[in-house]
Amino acid sequence: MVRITGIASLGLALLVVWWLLAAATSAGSFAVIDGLLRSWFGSLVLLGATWALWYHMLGRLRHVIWDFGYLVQVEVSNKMGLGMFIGATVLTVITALVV
Amino acid sequence: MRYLTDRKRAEGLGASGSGTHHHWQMMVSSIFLVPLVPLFIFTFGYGLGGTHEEVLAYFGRPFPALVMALSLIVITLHMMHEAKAAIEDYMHGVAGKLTLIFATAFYYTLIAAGLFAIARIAL
Repeated sequence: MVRITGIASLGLALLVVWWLLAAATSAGSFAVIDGLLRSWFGSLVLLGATWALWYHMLGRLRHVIWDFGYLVQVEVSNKMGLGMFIGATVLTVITALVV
Repeated sequence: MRYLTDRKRAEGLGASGSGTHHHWQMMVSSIFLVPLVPLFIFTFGYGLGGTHEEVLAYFGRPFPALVMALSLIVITLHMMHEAKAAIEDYMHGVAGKLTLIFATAFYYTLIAAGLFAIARIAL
């Protein structure tokens, strides 16, 4: 799941760079990608990408904690995995509310 | 009896030949990205949703431009290292080497394109 969300983040990176390039180029090309990202479909994609990015960040953090030798017990790791799901969802809701 | 230590026998047999370095690179960028990813999400989130002029003005400010450029570089390099590890694990020989080169070129191009856009907006 951490790997899948990592690959999904590449899609987000491409969209963001496209959006920035279009903004730097002309009003016309900006309108195309900006309209795409702000449509209901684009919002759905961005919401999913936001969740993926939060989830991947928490998942990577878990790997870093493991690499330092802490919390490697299966039981604790499973709890952290559940925490990643809940944490990513909570952070996505916060993001959606704030932004 | 062989006169090689276990370590000598194992050295250099990994898929990439530089796994320890890769692992350390990923540790460094992972930890750096823990504060950077939230900054990026909220900076980009605030930028999205304005008119063209508002977006240009927003990313013309130093802080949003810096956060965007920094996260673009660190996130893309982090993805590049991860993609390289996947290619080294699953592809071998000439095809593997060519895919590695293609992937490297692709990620560097992505960074260049993004930096160009940010520079053009910010300056």
